[in-house]
Parts: sequence; C-alpha cells; structure tokens
Amino acid sequence: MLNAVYAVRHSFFSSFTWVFALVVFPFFSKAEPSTSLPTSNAIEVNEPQSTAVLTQNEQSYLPQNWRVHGFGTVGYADTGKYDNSILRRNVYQNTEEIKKHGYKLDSRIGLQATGELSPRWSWVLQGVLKHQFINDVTDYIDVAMLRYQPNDEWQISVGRQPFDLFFLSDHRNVGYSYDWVRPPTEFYGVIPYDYFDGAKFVHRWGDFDNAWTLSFSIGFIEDSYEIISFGEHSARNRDASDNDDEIGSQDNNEDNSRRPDFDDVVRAEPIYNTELTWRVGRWHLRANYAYLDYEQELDSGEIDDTLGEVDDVWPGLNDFFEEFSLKDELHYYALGASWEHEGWAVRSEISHADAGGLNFSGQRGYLHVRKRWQNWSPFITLGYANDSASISYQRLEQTDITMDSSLYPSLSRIQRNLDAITSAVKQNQRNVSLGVRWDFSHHKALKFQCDLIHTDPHSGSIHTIVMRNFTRSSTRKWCSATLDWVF
Amino acid sequence: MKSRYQSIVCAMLLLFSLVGYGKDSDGWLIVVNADAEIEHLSKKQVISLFLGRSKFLPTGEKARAFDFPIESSARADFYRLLTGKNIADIDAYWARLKYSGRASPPTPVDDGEQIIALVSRVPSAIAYLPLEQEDELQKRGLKSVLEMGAE
Repeated sequence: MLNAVYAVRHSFFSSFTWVFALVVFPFFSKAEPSTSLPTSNAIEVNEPQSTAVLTQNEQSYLPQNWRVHGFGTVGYADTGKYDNSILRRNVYQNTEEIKKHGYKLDSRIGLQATGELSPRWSWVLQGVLKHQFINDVTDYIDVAMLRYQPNDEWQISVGRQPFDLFFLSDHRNVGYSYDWVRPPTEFYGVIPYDYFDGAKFVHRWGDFDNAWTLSFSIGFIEDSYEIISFGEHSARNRDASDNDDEIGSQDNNEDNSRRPDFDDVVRAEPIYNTELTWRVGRWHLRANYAYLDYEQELDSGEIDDTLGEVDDVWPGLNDFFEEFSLKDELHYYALGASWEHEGWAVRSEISHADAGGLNFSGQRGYLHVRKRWQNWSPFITLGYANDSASISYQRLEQTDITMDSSLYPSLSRIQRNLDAITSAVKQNQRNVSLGVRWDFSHHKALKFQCDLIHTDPHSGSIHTIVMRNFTRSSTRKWCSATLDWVF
Repeated sequence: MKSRYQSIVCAMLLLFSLVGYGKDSDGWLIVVNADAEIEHLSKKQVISLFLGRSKFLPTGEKARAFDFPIESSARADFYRLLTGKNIADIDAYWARLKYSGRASPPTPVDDGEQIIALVSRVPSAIAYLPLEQEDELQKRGLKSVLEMGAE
C-alpha cells in the first residue's frame, strides 16, 4: 500500500504584511481626518460619521470601527460508507480522518473582524477552524488584508486574500452563502489554493446595467494538501517499515506497515491572476487567467533510497520522479456565467488547467440550476472532470532488466505503483447532485444533498482511495446534511 | 406511521408559516441628511448603495447606509421591493460580500426613530423609511431622494 501526501508547506506569510498592519496603518488613520460616529446613550452604532460631527470620540475611533462577524456549518455525511471510496470536500482534507469522522467533512466555524481606519482605508482579518492539513497556525487564517479604496473605481489591497479562481473563491467556506452542502468537488475540490499572499489591484467601470471589474493579483502561495489517498496514512507505521524498495503494492491485502510516506512540498511563486467580470442585466459573467510558477518536491527517504539503488539499471525511474516533482508552470483558464430571475438561478463554470507536470491538468465544469419557492430552494448540479495528462518515461519493460533478475520482483512492484500514482492524480469523473436548501430562519439554513459520483477506471479523483480496486470504474452515492448560519 | 409523517409535515408547515417574511408596506422613501448635496437618486443607484456595489455617494463621500433590524418584516419588504428578491437571497448575497471582505452591509438599527436620528446627524447617511413618514422628514432634518411605491 502506498500513501502519498502532497504538502505545500506553509511558512509564516509575509511578515511585512503584519508589520504593515499592526504598526504602520494606525498612523494612516491619524493622518486622515477621523470620521468617528458620536455615540450617545440612545444611539450606539459603530459607524463612522463625517468630520462635522467629530468630537471627543476621535481617540476612540479604532475600537468603535471594529466589527466582528462569524459563520458556521455543522454537518454530517456517511463518509465511511465505502471501503475504496471517500466523500471528500477537497484535497485539503485527510482521507482517513474524513472516513472515520463524517462530521469533519463540512463542519467549520469562522470569525471575521473588519475595521475602518478611515473612510478609505480598511482591514479584514478572518480565521476559519476546520479539518484540514495544518503546518502552522497561520494556515487557519484565510484573510488578513489591508485595503485602500479612494473611490468606487479603484481599489488596492495587500496581505492574505482570496485567490480568484472561481465564482466562490472568496466565500467558499461560508456555507450560508451558497445553495450546496459543498461546492461541486470536480471544480472546487482539486485546485487547492484558497488564498494568496500579495497585492491585488481592482478597477471598476461602467454603469449599473453594464458593470465591469478588472483585477490583477500578484504574490505567492504556500499551502498543505493531500491529492492522493492510498489508504490509511503510513506515518504511524513508518517505523515498522521493513521494505524500503517498495513504494506501494497492488495487493488489496498488503500489510499497511509497508506504506512509505510522501511529503510533497510546493511553493507557488510568483503567481499572477487576472479576472474580468461583467454584470449585464440578470447576467454575471467572469473570466480569469492565472499563472503559477510552482515548485513541487517529493520529500521521501524511501524514494531517494530506492532511486539510489536502481538508478544504474533503471534510469527511467529517476526521470519519472523528476517529472512528477519538478519546478513547473501552471496555466489556469476559467469562464463562469450566472443568471438569476424570479427565484431561478443558473450557474455554470468551466476551466482548463495546463500544467507541465502531472498535477492539476484537465478540463472541469459544472452546471447548477435551482429554483426558490419562498424559503425552499431545490437544486440540481451536474459536474464533469477530465484529465488526460501523462508522464513520459522509460518503463520497466523497456529496460534490460529481465524477469530472471533478482531485482525484478521489487521493481515490478514499483512499476505497478508508478502506474497507480500516474492514475491517482487524474480526476476523471461525472457527478449528479440533488439537494434542497431551507432558509428556516434569518441567517440560518438547513441543507440536504445527495451526490451520485461516477469515477472512470484508473482515475484517482479526490474520492477514490487508490490501491483499493481503483482500476475499475465506480459509481458511488453519498448523502449529507448541514446547518449553515452567519452571525 | 402515516400519522407520524402527517405530524412532521404539519410541524414543518407551521414552522414555515412562523418564519414567513411577508408583511407588505405602501412603499418606501430613500432618505438622506437634509444638508446632503443630493436631490435625487435613481433606483439603480440605491440598489448599488444598499447591495454594496457602490460605497460612495454621488458627492464622493463614503456612504453610511442604515438598515431596519435583520429579522424585521420591514427590511424584507424593502429589499423585495427594491430588488425583487426574497430576503433569504439578499442575506446569502451579503454573506458572500461580507465574508469575502469585499463590503460591509448596511448597519442595522432598532427602528425608524433611530434611523431618523442617525440620518439627521450623519451627513453621508442613507436609509429608508415608510412612505407614511414623508410629511415629517423636513422638520426632522431629512429629505427624500427617491420614492418607491408598492407594486
């Protein structure tokens, strides 16, 4: 059995941002005339007011302009229903944890603090507590940005902020804000980037019926995620490993203790993203292009040992891992369209990812239709993902190693596992989701959703536990429910 | 078993009726401070201001929008008249904007009296009041920049 965890390690993001936020910006607030709202016994509203009414409250401007909001989701799904498949929200989630604890799949809670330093300077800090791979505490911070907006046309923000790859990029943790129990996993589950650290420039123009927004982002991303699950994580059993040359096995009954651990380190820097949105009538259209220069390194002593032992007789093995773990470029293109009228909402997004390596490539999309009747919103979503990327390398059969060689059994197992890895990172699946959202009270909604997911043969997707009969196609059904609220 | 399902359905319908948002009004006035250099706003401008698409008044000042209480039928009626949307859709919309850090929703206050008090004191304030209060705007330091009648 093989367990590969792709980890894009976090580091404490730009200390510059923190210094800027905590030290420099308060001075900006004093540089501009304060517009604190006077408070009285009768009226206590934390809103700024014009300079005309500025009095003794000036010094208390900052505390008065802080606001704290929150959002939460409590959910459950029978994630352990199948032995060889798992219902996962995205690649941030550890397969084994989700399989054992269905409530961890969608449950989360977030807190957001916002504030105005002046009418044109503001800041946002948001943390989300949920099940995910964590390297340090900053992984819990989704937003920590400062924004300058001189008028409705221009805006610049610096710090940690959403990475605009999808319609839901900037609020996909806020379950209350969308219809689904979870956004379509084909589209939202694989690209692991929630946010980036850097700067974003926004320009808006047009009028109400013809509103355009163009944004440009630059920065870097570090994150942690799992894109392949080969079953139970091997880390707990590493000490028991007795076979360094084996990086996996096709045998379903293989001893788990033989699974090595793959730590994959990816840092995307620089990243560029540009997004164009157009609101016209009932339509909201978007297009974006993102470029990521990312470096992905497999950090596995087992692999290094194996490569060292067989490099002379099977150089293709080294080529494979170089291809699989190289410094690479990702080009991401996406289009989205949303239409709403009289309770009907139709939304669709399609994307094409072109990566030089194996990860992330392919075409993905979904179509979502819902109708609201009073507080009930039934919906149907169709999802699609196709990935035909492959790695070109010298296979074992193409070497001079024969079946008579003493190395052959071990290398043969390795070859099978390379095939598994190659397939595992592919996402070829189709999905039908049926569900209903019930806004039973203000700022609270109950949702119920059933997903029918078909996975093609030799396709890992994010739902397949590779090495457990994943070579066959499968159709799985999961139902799940959540309570979503904001406060 | 059948009666059990009927009980569940009845309970859901009862709950459903209790959380209805439906009280209608004769219409709404969009009000600003009497000293504000704004004489008229279009409905589209008001939508932009109350849905966070615009943060600044035509005068260039940062707009301070005030709202009726979150759970009030007045608020639900106002947004339905303004946008044609169910208040749950409006709340979900604001959840998207608020938690993405893009914009903050109008500040909810207790009632119309508090709205009047605030708008009369904050030059860049904007809010809405029932049509019936039109006659008292001037003496309370407010003026109407748009009238929206019930459809």
